[in-house]
Amino acid sequence: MYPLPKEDKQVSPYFVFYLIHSMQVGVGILGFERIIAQSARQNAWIAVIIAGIIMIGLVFLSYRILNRGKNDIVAIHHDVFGKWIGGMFSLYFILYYAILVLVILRTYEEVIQVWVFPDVGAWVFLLIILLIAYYYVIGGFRVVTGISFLGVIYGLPLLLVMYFPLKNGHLGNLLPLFDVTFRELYEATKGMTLNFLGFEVLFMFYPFIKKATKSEKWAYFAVIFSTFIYLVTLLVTFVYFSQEQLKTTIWATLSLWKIVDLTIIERFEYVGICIWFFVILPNICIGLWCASRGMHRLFSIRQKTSLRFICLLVLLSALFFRDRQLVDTLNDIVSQIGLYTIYFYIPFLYVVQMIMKRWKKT
Amino acid sequence: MKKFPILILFLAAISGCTPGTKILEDIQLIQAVGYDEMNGEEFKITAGATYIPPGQNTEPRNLVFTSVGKTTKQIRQQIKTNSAKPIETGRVGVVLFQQEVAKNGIERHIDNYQRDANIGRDIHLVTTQGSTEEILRTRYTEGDSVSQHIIDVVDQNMDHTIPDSNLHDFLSQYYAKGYDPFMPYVSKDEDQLKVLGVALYKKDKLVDTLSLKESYILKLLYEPIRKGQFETEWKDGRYISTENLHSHTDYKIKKERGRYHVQLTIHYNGEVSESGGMDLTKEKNIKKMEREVSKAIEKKAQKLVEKFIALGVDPIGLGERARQQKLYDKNWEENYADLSVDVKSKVKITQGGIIE
Repeated sequence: MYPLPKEDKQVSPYFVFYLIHSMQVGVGILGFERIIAQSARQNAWIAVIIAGIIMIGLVFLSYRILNRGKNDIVAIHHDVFGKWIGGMFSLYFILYYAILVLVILRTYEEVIQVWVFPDVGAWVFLLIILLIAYYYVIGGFRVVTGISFLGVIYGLPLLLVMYFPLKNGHLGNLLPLFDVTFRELYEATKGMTLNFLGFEVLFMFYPFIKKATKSEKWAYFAVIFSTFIYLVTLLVTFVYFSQEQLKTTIWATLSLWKIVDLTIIERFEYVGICIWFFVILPNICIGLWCASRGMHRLFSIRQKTSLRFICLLVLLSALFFRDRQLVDTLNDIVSQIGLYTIYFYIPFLYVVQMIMKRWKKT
Repeated sequence: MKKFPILILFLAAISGCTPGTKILEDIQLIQAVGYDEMNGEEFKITAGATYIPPGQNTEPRNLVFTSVGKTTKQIRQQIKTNSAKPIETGRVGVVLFQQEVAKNGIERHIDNYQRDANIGRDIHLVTTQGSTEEILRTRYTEGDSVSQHIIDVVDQNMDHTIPDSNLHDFLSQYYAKGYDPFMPYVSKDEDQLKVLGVALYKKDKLVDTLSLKESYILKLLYEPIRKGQFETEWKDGRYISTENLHSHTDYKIKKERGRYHVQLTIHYNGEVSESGGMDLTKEKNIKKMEREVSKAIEKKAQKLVEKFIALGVDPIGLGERARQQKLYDKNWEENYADLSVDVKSKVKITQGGIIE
């Protein structure tokens, strides 16, 4: 009923690294510092490491589920819960992928509007970005993988400009070390989860990986690398901003680029925002691909049709979120949904699948 | 080919939404902004720009726009009415505050600069003695624009005599609990722009100013440095001068019976640049010189920190350093006035110059 893709549509195991890493580092990194510093202050970096370790645990669980099911989430749901309940859960996942795309798209659009083109209507960039993403996704999974590889490569040089804020910073801002309560750390770790969301796309593209069981280590590398990127960004931000100043800064990472002073580029943040588009694009592409693929599997319609439907859905709902407050609310809601999905649903699925497997054997 | 008409349709629809283009020759880039006090409510803004007339080898001309109003954006709107080209603020490099404006608080002006995505973070904030309009109207050098000249003078001084500061540093200190901000303090003297020292702020209000000599001590305390001259009286009105090779300051803060105590140690490595007629071949003289310089630094630094405490300002971030040692709490602000300070300095001097 749910056939596996042919080999000429699959990608090598190590591409899992790029797919997962590019999905985890997205629009959140531009302003996550403020959110986690609110609860754990100068020790929020501990929360980043803790969140990273938890993610590794969750990726481990995901691989156990997938290796047992040997197919994507829609097929696994069908096997475990049957047609109707399984279908409901699959539909939930499709909506979840779509809403991830919505958050990324809308938040990035807000950055463009505030920083670069305040006088251009929101729908223009939403439409343009979605058209570009549509064009890539229609090319199939291999094209999406390619774009996520390029996204990671294009984004890396941005790490180099961290030198400038470091030069202007005060290392003492990080002191006193470990002066943090368990409760504060818990809050900060929770806040950090939204940024690590996205590895769940694994559930959809798993059958597209050649020798998929071998790709597990690349998924761990991806999470470790994402943690590293977040950690470096956070530490540099803390060294550069005082804690009270950070509270007033919405996009701390973007504001970091304001101090960059290159001979030929006076204002680096505009360059940074443009480069960041290539980091955002794979996020949107992978999300769209996953949602449309899910619909294609669940409802047996052509992926092209489902992709168009989802693009339209995302565009229309993105237009609804007009101002900062609504975008903030959207981010909060998605962060809650994501939290429950990865912390409760994945372990739940793991346990239920294990029980069903034993039960069927006997 | 079937998709071609759709593509054209999209292109046509989107081309209507392109933002207005900004061509460098057709806009007026503001490079410096000055704030002058008019009466309690209103203030005057002076915007300095450069106009390069068309043609070959033309000298850049200094353009100045002024207007009076209640908010920066409102005044900017008015300034636009006297300019032949649209005004753009993306290249503002220095913002000047007349000291009368600064005394009333500059928060409402600063807010405009930190909020605007167009403004960089490494721009200079400067407090001036005397009208900023006059400073921006004067042509100091032939080649450079006025604002560039101001930036260069301030930059050069930040290397040698006054502590480093820009918009980001100001904001960072303004928001931080255990810090108070400061700015360079300049004035116009005849046809020259002069750095007088440092203007000290409590939150966003100007409190006092420091002389150049005091500013250098503040620089010693505030940041590690590698430049600058320090002058010490030797005896009978003779002076020796040492060049700072590198220096830094260690802070130790203790709390004893509810009272805070700060122990400062200034490490200073210097080189003799003017010996004041002393025989430098003798080891004894060098040792003596180290002692004298050390004593002089201690005395001046002690006096300066006590001055800060008396004024209730904290430009060297004693509160921030207390926070780093888990000593900052509610009591800090209350007890700041009876903070006890002890300055020590460790001076190491090497003989310098190409003669003995």
